[in-house]
This record gives sequence, structure tokens and C-alpha cells, in this order.
Amino acid sequence: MTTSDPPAGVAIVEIPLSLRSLVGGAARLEVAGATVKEVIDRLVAERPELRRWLLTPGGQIRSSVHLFLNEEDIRNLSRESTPVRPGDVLAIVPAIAGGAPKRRISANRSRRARAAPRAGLTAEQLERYSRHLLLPEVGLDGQRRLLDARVLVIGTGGLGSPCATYLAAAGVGEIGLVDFDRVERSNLQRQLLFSTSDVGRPKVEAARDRLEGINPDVIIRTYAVRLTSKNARSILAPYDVVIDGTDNFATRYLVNDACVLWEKPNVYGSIYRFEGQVSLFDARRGPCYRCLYPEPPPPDAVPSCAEAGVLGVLPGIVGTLQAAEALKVILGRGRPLYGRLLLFDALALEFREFRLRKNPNCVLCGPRATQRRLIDYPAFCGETPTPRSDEPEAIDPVRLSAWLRSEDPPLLIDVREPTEWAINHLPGARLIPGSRIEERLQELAAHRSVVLYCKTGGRSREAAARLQRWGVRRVRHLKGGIDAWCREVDPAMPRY
Amino acid sequence: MRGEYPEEACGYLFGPRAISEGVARPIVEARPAENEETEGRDIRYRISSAEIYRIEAEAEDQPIGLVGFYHSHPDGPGRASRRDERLAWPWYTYLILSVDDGGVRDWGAYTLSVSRGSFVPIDCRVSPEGPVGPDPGRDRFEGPGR
Repeated sequence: MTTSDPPAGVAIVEIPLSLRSLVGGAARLEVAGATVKEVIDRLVAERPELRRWLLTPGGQIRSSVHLFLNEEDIRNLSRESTPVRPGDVLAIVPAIAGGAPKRRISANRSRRARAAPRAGLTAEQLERYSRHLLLPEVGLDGQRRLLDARVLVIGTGGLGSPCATYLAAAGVGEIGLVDFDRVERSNLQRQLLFSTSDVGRPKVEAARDRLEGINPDVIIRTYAVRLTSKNARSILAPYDVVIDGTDNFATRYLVNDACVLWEKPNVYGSIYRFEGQVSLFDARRGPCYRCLYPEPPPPDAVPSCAEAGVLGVLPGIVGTLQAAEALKVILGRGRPLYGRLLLFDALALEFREFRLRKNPNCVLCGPRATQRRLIDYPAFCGETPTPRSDEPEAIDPVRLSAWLRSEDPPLLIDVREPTEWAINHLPGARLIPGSRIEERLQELAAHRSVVLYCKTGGRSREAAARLQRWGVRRVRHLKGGIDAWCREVDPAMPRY
Repeated sequence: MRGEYPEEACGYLFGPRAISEGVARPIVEARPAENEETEGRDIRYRISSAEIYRIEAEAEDQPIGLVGFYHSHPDGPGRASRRDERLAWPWYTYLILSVDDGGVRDWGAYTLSVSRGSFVPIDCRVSPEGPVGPDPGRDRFEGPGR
């Protein structure tokens, strides 16, 4: 890679010592490009391991990277659009900076320091947090507490989006984001961390860009993984407070159990259509989620937002309440929701509150607790059931498509609601909402084969099982629902 | 170090550049740098990139070169702040010293783990050849190479 006679159109990039181990020890690399930005873009395309050190997630050159073209700082030239000629030398130089934490811990302050009292916040921070500083309940000490706090937000969807936004704006020093999903267009109706241009990006990356833009004081750590019994401890360990913004029971029980076992406050929120719940669980001070719900509901009994729909503003309200509770826990102010469950009904616009008590028989936090470690949560929640004889048979979209075109097609039943049918439905299907399917038993039993479908497969499986119990044979359901059909058979079909 | 108090002091650490993984990295010289921050100099430091470029270029073929940086936390802890960690680069040794107007009270050394993206504390001690003094700039510090 080292050369004194580079090919035409190729510049020499000098790699700083700091990054050489990432590129096999190379001190110089030849990279083509007409401008500084083009050279850097080409470099990270060829050497992706350099990307995170040189570019922001949005693809801009990091402010901590300084570039010198033929020994001249590019800030004195045309910055990143500075033209690069063949044989030019572009040196990457790390910007070295840092500083003390904002909180002064030394008890032995010097007289000189006392004579010139310092707020411990920079001028920029005094301005940014001035509305907090004005509140006697927050003030300088409170703001320093926030800047020193670490909060883990599990799920960056409907609840995590508003929650993380307010935590970052408030100056919570470090925010961890756990989510393995990518941004989908259907998220944009309520997940305000994301823009239309983020569709397809990993959620945690898009969220980090947005949150860093809101407040550069905040360190954002991202975990683009599914939280599991194996990784929960290492992910949760560094954080002071955990926000439960999950959308499934397996992860919700896992978050609860991990918070009980490792003594973290767990700010719980959940949403269903127009209704939300908020509470604060801390087994040291009150009940945990299992005291409230010892067992998960049967699988598919409680549909997810993707199945049941949700009013876009609802997670905004609930997630914001979670952020408020997290800030109160950090500040040690007010009356946090320990031992209280807040229910919110957006249609009636009603808040109701229930007192929760610690369950003396709780297997996790009761006096005779039997569970001392994390378990297999998908199995606990029945999401990976052992095959049962009454489990309705599933059919995948491609096979169904072929079957429908055959000479003996099945009767196709859409078990969704009429509002969903109006958006899209499979050709030749009949609409019978799941709640009314028993009224049409005779009609269904008369057919040789029946295939049910819904949006993602949960409701149709449940309806198919009910039909089987009523004695209807040869009932199948479409695996993955009409969503999977759109992906695998008919990408032109509108989705929601 | 005391001269800059109550503002942050900062500087370069020099040592053998070719140190293999896990081997103690001797620091043979600490050289002060100008704190380029114009605001909040009591809690912030910044070292000139042009100066780093010059030093790196001069030492290109030398066995001893720039291997890290030090800075002080006046009346603050002798450990890395989140800002230190967020702005850190791999491979370098970062030495952080707690100082007050009586001198250096405590220190900690770190290197950035590339895989974890976070600081890893490294063992740091003053070697027998150099006594502990109020100005660590004249002492020898040792820490693992990586």
C-alpha cells in the first residue's frame, strides 16, 4: 500500500497511529477521489472498520476528525469540498479533547476555588438548562444529578421515542437505547424520533442521530440487539434507571425480572388502542410487575399495536409520563409512582389510579421467592409452544398463492375489521371479523378447505383454533398474515 | 500542572511506539501542551491538531513517539469523565490527574476498547526510577500497551 508513485487520480491517505491496528497496521493507503469528502467516503467504503471513527451515523465527517491536505488544514482551504489531485497527501489527525466531569467531588476545595465560585456548568449549559435551574426542585444540584445519570431505554418505538427525547433534552448524561428493529413507514404515525428519510435504517442509529442533535451533552449508547436472558445483565448493569418501552410480554417479564434481580427502578408503560398504563416498579420499595401480573396472558389474547392499532398520540402521552417518572427518581423529588398504577383513557380523557401492593406470594420479590435467575421468557409467555395436536396448521404466502390459482382453491376468510379490509384484502376473500366467525359456522363447515388470514397472523391463528374446537376441519391460517403476503407475493399491495 | 490550576492542564505522553498487546507501555516523557479551549477551561481541554500532526510527522520513523495524552481535573476526580471517553481515540493511553492547589491527588489511566467503544482502565504506576512528585510531568508512568 505504501508508495511514492501513486496511480493517476489516487491520493495517499495517512492513517493515524490510533487507527492503524484497524487496517492491518498500514500507515498509508491509496484512495481515489476528486475531493476530500470523496476520498474519505471511498476510504470508509473500502475499510468499513474505519467508518465509526471518521463519519457520523449520518455520513458527515466527525468534528473530532481533523484533516490536513499536503500539510495544510482543510479548514483553511475549502473544507471537505477541497479538490484533491493525484498524489496529494491527505492526513487524518485525531482531535484530542476532553474535560472534567461537571460535578466537583473534592471536599478539599482550595481557597482560590472558593474565592471564585464556579457553577460547575459551562456557559452553554447554564443557558441550555436555565428553565431547570430556575426550579428550586431541580436547580444546579439537580441538573448535575441529571448530567451524571444513566438511563436505559428498552425499545425505541412509540414509548421509547418521546421518553428518550425528553430525557436527552433534560440533560440526562447517558442514555442507552436497546432495539433491534429498523424504522418502518408505519412507525412514523407516532414515533417522532424518526423522519421519513429514516425508513429502513436501524432504529437505534436514527434515534442516536436525532438525540445527539437535540443535546450534544448526552452520550448515547446503542444496542441493536434483542434483549435476552443472556445479555440482559451486561446491558442493564451500567444504568441507574430502566425504561420499559417494550411491545411484547416476553421482553416485559425479562425487563421486570432483571430489574428486580439487579435492583434497578423500572419505569413501566404500556399502551393498547386508546388506553395506557404507567407505573414505577422497584422491588426494594414496593411491588414489581409480577406482583401485578404473576402470569402472562395466553399468547395472542392481547394483540400488539401492529395487530390492534393504536392512537398515535397515546404512546406520546404515556412515554412522556415515563420520562417524568425517570427524572423524579434521578432528582429524588416529588412523589414517584411506586405502588401506584396509573390508567389513562384517551377517548374519555380520564386518568384513574389504583394502589398496588406487594404480592406476598410473588416468586420473584416475595419473602419466599423461588426465582433467583432469569428464565426462558419466550417459553414462559407461550410464544414458542410445544406443538399441540389442536394447533391450527399454517400455510405460507407463496404456497397459498399457488393453491388459490389451482383448480380446487380454498375458501379464503379475512378475519380483520372492516376498516382494515378497506385498505387491502386478498382477491377472492370474504370478510368475516374474528369476533363474528361463530355466526357463520355452517357456511364455513360446508367448504372442503378454509384458510383464514389477518394482518400478521395472530388473530387468524386464534380464530382457526376456535373453528377447530367447533368441529370445523381442514382449517388453515396464513402465516405472517397479509403483511407477509405483501412482502412475498404482492409488493404492490398497499400496507398499513 | 499546578501552574495551570484552577484551569485544566494537558499534554503529550511519549514512549515506545512498537508495543505489543498486553505489554506494559512505559511513558518516558510527558510534555505540556497549550489548552486551546477558549471557554470553560476549568473543565475542558483541547490540544491543537496541527501540533499533533507535526509531532506525529517528526516521529514517523523514530522508536519513541506520541503514545498518549494527559490532562488534569482541577478539584475533580482522577478518573475519566464521560466527555473524555466520548472524545477518545483507540490505541492511545489517556492519563487523567486529579489536582488541587496542593498538587496531584490521584490519577487514572485508560485506553479505549475498540470492540466495546468504551474506556478500559489500565494499571498505572510510577516506576522506581522516578519518585512521586507534585508534577507528574517529570515522572515515568507505566501502563499496559493496550
